[in-house]
Amino acid sequence: MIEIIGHRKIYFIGFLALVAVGLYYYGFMHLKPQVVKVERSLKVSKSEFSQIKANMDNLVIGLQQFDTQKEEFNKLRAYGFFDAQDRLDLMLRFREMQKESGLLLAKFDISPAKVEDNPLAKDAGFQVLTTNIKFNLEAIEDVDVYKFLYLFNYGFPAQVFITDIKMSRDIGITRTLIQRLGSGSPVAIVKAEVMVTIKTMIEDPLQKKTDEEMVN
Amino acid sequence: MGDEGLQVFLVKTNNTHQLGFFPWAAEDLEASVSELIVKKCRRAPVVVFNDMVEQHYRKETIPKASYFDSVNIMKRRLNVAFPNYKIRAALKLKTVSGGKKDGIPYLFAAIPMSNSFNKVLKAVTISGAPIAGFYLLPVEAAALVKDLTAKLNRNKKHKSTWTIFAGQHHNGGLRQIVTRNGELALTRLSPIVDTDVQPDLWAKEVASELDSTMSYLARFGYKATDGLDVIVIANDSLKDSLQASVEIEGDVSILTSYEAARLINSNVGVQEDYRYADVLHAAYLGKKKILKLPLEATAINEVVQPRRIASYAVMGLALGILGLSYMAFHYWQQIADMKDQLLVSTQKTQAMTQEYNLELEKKKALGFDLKLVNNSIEIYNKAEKDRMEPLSVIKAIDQAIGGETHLDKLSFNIIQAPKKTDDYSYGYSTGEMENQLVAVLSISYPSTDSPDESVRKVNDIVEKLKISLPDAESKVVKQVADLSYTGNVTGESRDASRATVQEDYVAEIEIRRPMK
Repeated sequence: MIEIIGHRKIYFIGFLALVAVGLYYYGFMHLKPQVVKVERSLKVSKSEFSQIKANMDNLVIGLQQFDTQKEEFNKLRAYGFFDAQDRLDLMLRFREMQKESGLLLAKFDISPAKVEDNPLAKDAGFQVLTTNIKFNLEAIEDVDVYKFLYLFNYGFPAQVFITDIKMSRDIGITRTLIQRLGSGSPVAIVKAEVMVTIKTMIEDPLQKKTDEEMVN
Repeated sequence: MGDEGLQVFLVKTNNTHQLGFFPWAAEDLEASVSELIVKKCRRAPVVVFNDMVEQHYRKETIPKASYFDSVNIMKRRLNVAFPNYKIRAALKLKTVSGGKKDGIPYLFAAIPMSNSFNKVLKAVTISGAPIAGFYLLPVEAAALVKDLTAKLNRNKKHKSTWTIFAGQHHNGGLRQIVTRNGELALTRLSPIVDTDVQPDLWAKEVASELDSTMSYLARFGYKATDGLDVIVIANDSLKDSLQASVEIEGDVSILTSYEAARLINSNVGVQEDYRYADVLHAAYLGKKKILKLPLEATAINEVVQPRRIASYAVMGLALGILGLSYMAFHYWQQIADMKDQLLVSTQKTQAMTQEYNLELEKKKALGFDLKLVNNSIEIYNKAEKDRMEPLSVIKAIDQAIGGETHLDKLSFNIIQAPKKTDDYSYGYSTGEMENQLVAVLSISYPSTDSPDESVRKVNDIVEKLKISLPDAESKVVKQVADLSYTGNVTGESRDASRATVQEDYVAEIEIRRPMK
């Protein structure tokens, strides 16, 4: 067979086959993955450009709307959104709220603050701080609990999230209870367990900023 | 391939070279021919024409059938016609107008497997040159005769039906090819003197052979009214003698091989003698792309098939390489284009980032920390979506139950529940999840109240809640009069002598409101 076809032709076919295999590998194993890789890089780069362009546009729009935003920002500051969550200060405020609302008892359990992983805050040189607080409240009337919650929701220097409330009236109105109330000794008729999360933004200690650098 | 030996011609576009004559008796025929093909012809495709005496022809009619059937019938008939000859072929002929239409006419041809055939096959095999095919010279030369006749008779009003072409070959024989309507009708090879030293003798011998052929033609149905052209290849010096010797009724044309070749747009090149016709056949047939009747034989196929497969493999691989090269080039070009785009995009991003940071620094220097303002507002607003806002719900509950009803328990929590579409879709779930505020209130009524009255009161509360909290879904999850095992009953039991049981009925209402 080889003699009929000829050695030269056999070698030539072999050479062509090698070239074809080489080209196949070069095309599919080397170039094609490279196409995918470069295509991906190009997409990332284009996306980065779009992002930075959008930021630039926002900057321009931001400047135009700066007065409105400045007002909103000042409101946040007034709400206490930039409060440092000083624990002593928190306790004093809770006592004040308890007295103001007329609660017989307001037991609180403040958990250690957590730093939220927030890229927006990080970008501005700040951190988002969250603290979970558990309250056990006791009152004569359920309206006192409502007052406490109201004060917390609207008067506390932070962004407040009431996440769970369990309120119950466990004691029935009996002659003994009325007598005790009449004698002036307070009796807890309503009990409540409230879970609250407070959120504020504080300066990132690593990117310390002075207050003067913030908006005038 | 003649009876005496092998004549080798090299046919080029504008010229035909006679490379050599190799007698069959020569010991080194295969090696010499092979060397000639390799060195002088550079392994050009080889076409072999058989011009020997022993050629067998037969006209057969094959009944009309489907393509595959007719092929099988034709092969079978060919086998029956020439059982002792291994090299054979069949050529489909034109159906004669007005003739019988009960079948298709075929020209069957066969030659014996000879020693000379094997020698030629071996020589070509050794050379490595591709074999274009083995053919019968008279069959293929019919086309030459037809073209030549057409050229000679281009000004004639009445075209002849018959043509006799006669030409002496280097082997010495006079090959006569007779065509009828352009198709081979008869062929003869007869030995004559191979010299023109005595022009009259040569002319007489040729004329005598032509006369013999004429006597055959009558048996093939020739009539004087059909018209006859006679073309003889001869030297200029022999033309007069030949003209005087030929006594056939017809148009006799005596041409040199050079003149004949010019008429059919071929070139026989410079020859020592222009009275030989084999060079004319080589010049004409060597340039023909498709020949009529390729001979088939196992010995030929054994050489041709592997070479054909190898040629297809080369073609396939070449095409594959072409395609793969295009694909590789396409990918390469894509990469180059995208790299250019990437460079531009990276540069643009860098420039824009630089500009953006510069702007930010400028604003910051002027006292505008835009990033802090924008980001803190965004953080605050995003977080607002997670606020439960229970106070508005508590207020609505307070207004709904009034001062008389006894609220035992109230709980609020946040759950993840499937988001529902608007009212018109009948609460169909979209599959998305959302945060919902869930408030559950427990109300108890003393056992002194009638259950009907209590149920009415509970329903009233739910209706009021629906009005005051239109964006919430309020419903009774446990009714006061539910005394089945799913219901909740509270009360106290005293000693048996008093035998009274005081029970309170408890109802539960659930309020669900999607968060912002």
